[in-house]
Amino acid sequence: MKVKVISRNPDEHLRETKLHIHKVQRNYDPDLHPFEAAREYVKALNAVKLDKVFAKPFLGSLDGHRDGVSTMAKHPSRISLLCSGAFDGEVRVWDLPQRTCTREFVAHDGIVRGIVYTITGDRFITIGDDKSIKTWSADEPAFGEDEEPVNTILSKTVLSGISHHYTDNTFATSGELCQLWDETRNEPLRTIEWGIDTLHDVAFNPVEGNILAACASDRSIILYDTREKLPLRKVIMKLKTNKLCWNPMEPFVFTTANEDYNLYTFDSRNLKKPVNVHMDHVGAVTYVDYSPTGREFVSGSYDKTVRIFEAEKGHSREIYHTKRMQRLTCVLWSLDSKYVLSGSDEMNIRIWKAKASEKLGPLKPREKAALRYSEALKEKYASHPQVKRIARHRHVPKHVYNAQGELRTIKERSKRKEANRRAHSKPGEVPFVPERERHVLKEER
Amino acid sequence: MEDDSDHLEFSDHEIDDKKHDKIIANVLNLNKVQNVKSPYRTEPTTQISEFNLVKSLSNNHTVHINELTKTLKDRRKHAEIVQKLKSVSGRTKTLLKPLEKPQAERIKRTLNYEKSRLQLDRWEALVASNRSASQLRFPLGSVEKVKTIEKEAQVYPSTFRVKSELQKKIEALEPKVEEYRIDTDEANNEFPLTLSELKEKRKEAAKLRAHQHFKEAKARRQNKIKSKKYHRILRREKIKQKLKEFEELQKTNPEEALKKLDDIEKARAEERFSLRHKGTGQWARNKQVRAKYDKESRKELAQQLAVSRELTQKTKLTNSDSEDEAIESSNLPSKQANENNPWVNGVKPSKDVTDFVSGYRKFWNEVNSNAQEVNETDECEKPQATPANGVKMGKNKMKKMERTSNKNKPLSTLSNKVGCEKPQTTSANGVKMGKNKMKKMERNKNANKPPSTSSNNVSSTSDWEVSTIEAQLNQPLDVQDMFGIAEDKLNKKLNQKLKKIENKPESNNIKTNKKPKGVKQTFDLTIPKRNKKQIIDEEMLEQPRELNHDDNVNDNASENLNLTALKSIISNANKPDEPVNINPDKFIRVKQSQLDTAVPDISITEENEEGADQRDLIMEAFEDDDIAVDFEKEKAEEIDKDTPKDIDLNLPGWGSWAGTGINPNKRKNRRFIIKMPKKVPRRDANKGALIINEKAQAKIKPLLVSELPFPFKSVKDYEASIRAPIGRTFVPEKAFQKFIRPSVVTKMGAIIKPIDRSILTGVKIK
Repeated sequence: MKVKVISRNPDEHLRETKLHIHKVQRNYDPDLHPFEAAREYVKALNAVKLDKVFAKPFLGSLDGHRDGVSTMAKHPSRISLLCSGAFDGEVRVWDLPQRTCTREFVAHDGIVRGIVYTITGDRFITIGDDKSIKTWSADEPAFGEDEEPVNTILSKTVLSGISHHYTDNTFATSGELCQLWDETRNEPLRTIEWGIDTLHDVAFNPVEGNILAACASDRSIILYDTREKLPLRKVIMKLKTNKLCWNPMEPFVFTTANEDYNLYTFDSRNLKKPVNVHMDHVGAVTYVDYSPTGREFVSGSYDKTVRIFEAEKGHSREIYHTKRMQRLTCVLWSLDSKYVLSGSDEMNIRIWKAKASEKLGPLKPREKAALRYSEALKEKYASHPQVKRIARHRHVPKHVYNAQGELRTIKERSKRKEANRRAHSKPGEVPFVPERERHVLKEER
Repeated sequence: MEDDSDHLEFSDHEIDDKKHDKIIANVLNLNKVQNVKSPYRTEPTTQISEFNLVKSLSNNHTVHINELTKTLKDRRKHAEIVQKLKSVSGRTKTLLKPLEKPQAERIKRTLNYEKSRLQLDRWEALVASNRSASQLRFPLGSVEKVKTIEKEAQVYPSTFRVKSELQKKIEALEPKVEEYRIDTDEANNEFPLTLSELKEKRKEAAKLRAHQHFKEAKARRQNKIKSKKYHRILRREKIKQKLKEFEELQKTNPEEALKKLDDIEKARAEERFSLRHKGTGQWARNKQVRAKYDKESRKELAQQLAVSRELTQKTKLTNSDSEDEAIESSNLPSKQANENNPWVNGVKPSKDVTDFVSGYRKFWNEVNSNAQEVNETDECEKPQATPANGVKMGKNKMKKMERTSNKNKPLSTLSNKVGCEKPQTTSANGVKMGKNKMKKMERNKNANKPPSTSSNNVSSTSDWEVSTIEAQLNQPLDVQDMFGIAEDKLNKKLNQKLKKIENKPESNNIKTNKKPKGVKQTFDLTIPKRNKKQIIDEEMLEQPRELNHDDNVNDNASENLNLTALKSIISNANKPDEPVNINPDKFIRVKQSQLDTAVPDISITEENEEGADQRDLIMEAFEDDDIAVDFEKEKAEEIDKDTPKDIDLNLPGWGSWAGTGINPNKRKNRRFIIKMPKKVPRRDANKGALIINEKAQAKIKPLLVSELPFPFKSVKDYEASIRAPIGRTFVPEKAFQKFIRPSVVTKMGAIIKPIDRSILTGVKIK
């Protein structure tokens, strides 16, 4: 008689050496996994829920300014450094990981309008309402020494914005005129103008360094070429553009923060209409900054919220707000694309995570794999109603909620009116105008 | 005006004429705005001041060239000049007026814009590819810089040696042939490897090294194992593997198999005559154990050894005989081939091998020449196994005849099949027989019989075969036995298959003939592409914290459930009920389209074949029950349960007296009864033998996707994308890793710089 014994062959469950991975016996026959879809769905649902549980984007605030933060600047090579200017002319340099202020001084009489670091990062340039351009050393002065600018240039015109070239020693200021400066000279290299309207923001293209864009107070956006005597083109919007930011990975794309609560992404080769309209804010958008990956951007608004948009989508994927955060004046996306910094009216700078539920710090391979798996699952089941509902649910302040309702009724009203007009007039007389074409008045050559 | 001036003139005689003229000129020029005077040349200059460019006044003062030439006209001497001037004036054109400044600037601006647009256009392709890339790693192009330190080719300088006289002389006799080598590596160096290529190469090399190392380590480990048992098992496994290969070869390429068999046999023979196995047999060992105490066994052993010695000597002698035989059996193709090759000719295969081969060959030829015959003989040889088959076949044939003519075809193919498969079995038998023969030969050798005689009586009977097998069973396994066993197994399998084919009902046969797919299904096991991602561009559901929307919805839902149900019922009831008159039997029955289920339907249904039988079984079992009536009853109950009942809202005593002896007013009561429609349309109203539970889906419906997500164009595509699982438990590790690749990867703490123009220009990172 043969006696059958349960045999445990160690070859089947033990690894040969310590360096091998553990053996796992699996049968992938789909017949053996009749509930695979259902199991994955539940996993996706759980992942989404956990995402909500871990969604704690607020990391900390930097307080110290005695007036609203007017502007901020990133250091080109050090992620941990941040320079901020306030409405009372004070400039502060922050150490982000320590959340401490390392340096503070009054740089200007009146508002600090703009700060930029030079390409090497050893100096920064500030402009203020006192019509001066001051260059400061990035190093702290020695003990006992006073804070003195390395160089001061008195401009003939009022200054409102500044942008530094990404590879050269030139920078541009905006104000009454658009002026190009060299770091080593006290006179502007060139002045480019088109009309007499003041410009309140200017931005160098980070990739094609000779292209420059500015926002004018006549509701227009102007493109310049630093090599040409004359500007390139102008596009006039229905409302004023507050801020402009180029996409660092797509050199012909820029996004503008508009007074009409929307952001517009333009292809600079075709300014007739924006490529995309990003809605969701319920107040004038004051600031926009691209993630260094070029896939997303962050915007700050007068409605006291920060929103993160995916560059190709019309609606935001995230909204950040706190009870005490007032109107946003500036928002920045850190150069490692992990953090978002926001400066607001109530004198604080806040640090946020770019992904609300992301785990910071190094991850173990297994952890990483698990997170990626849940991410993939969420993507796979994204349009299932339960998953979608949980993923897109957000708490917002009451004023935002109310404003949204108000805006909705306004939109519906105008839509209804248009439909009525269309119904009661000759066919073709009231044309359908797509949303993207609604906000541009004209493109001027 | 003129009169006045005259009058003035007359009145005032002392007026200076010059001044007067000036005044008049001024007055006349009052309405002509020309402050700058027309230029007149004082001395010749090359530069003309821009301030002197004045609107030309078409007054009489300007001199035209043709006027000048008029004076020259009548003189013959100047006729040439006149002509020249005329031609010149005809050719020249005055320049156009320059554009107005705004217009000119606009043109310039458009030109500039076009230029910069071209500059930006260069990025188009890159941006498009980045946007559609399944994965992007930031910082872009952050491949660690590979610094390739050029290792100096270690060319050892050919050491100089003092040559001896002899060497010199030899060199003089045979001048050194100059060799030119084309170094392929150098040729490649002209086009240095790109970074990616270099990395790939490195990776490959590393992989190879790792593999080598791994193999080495394994070999070392295995070499260290001293266990005899392990080695024995290993050897046996190897042999088994070889056998398996051989079997496969036999099926696919019999010629090759024959050759291989030859080789195996040779190896075996070599092993055998190496005399290593003199004392290792079971018998010898037993004897050895006993030899200590038993004289006889000792004797036997000694005898055996002597015999072996004798045998070895004899084999050397019989070599010549085998040669002769080889010449005799020169009809073998393999032999012929060897004759062509003088090198191979020297090596003679052992005799039993040649015998076996010849036997096999004969069998093969026989089989190929007349399969039919063999078929019959096979049946003769195995009377116990085949009769049943034969009977069954006969039955099948009978059935065939009864069936329609078109069904005859598949049957004929079936019989063909049987015909085809039989030869194979017989050939296998042939192999067995050959082996048996060999066994016998060995025995013959032991008995000092000439092997040639045994090879002659090839024709074998079934009795003989059976006996040999029985004899073999007791002996320890060796290569031949293994072959034999393998062949047996093959035979058995074939027989089983045959039986199966014969036993199958004809309808199934037809099916299998129609689509061979059913027998051998192929699955597409490639990893599905998942380049389509759902794009959800929607507003977030933004609510203030206090307002818990969901609960409200739920509450409302529970409250309104009855009401809405009622409303829907009423609305449905009000609809004109057209479908009532439809007779379900009049409709064409549409083939049911199957929905894609979560599990791919891979299982090959052998159970389906039994479906018909099962149905019969069920029918038999429920013969007595009247299922149809039962079902009707059940359906009626179901309908009754689902129809809404009238709601009686009467409160006894409300608005009237209540109690014993008081009859409530029926007319009044009627007002408080909410009447439900009598006829509620049901989905299964006309479906006959079908009950549709309309509430079944109520729970799962809110969990299902109601709209096709954006980039997908058909439900099928979307379902396909959802169906394939991505988890580790369901797919292999490699696929899993592929599925969970994130679309954007960033490195912690690494600064992501804007895209660089060097990517476009293709400058390599060095």
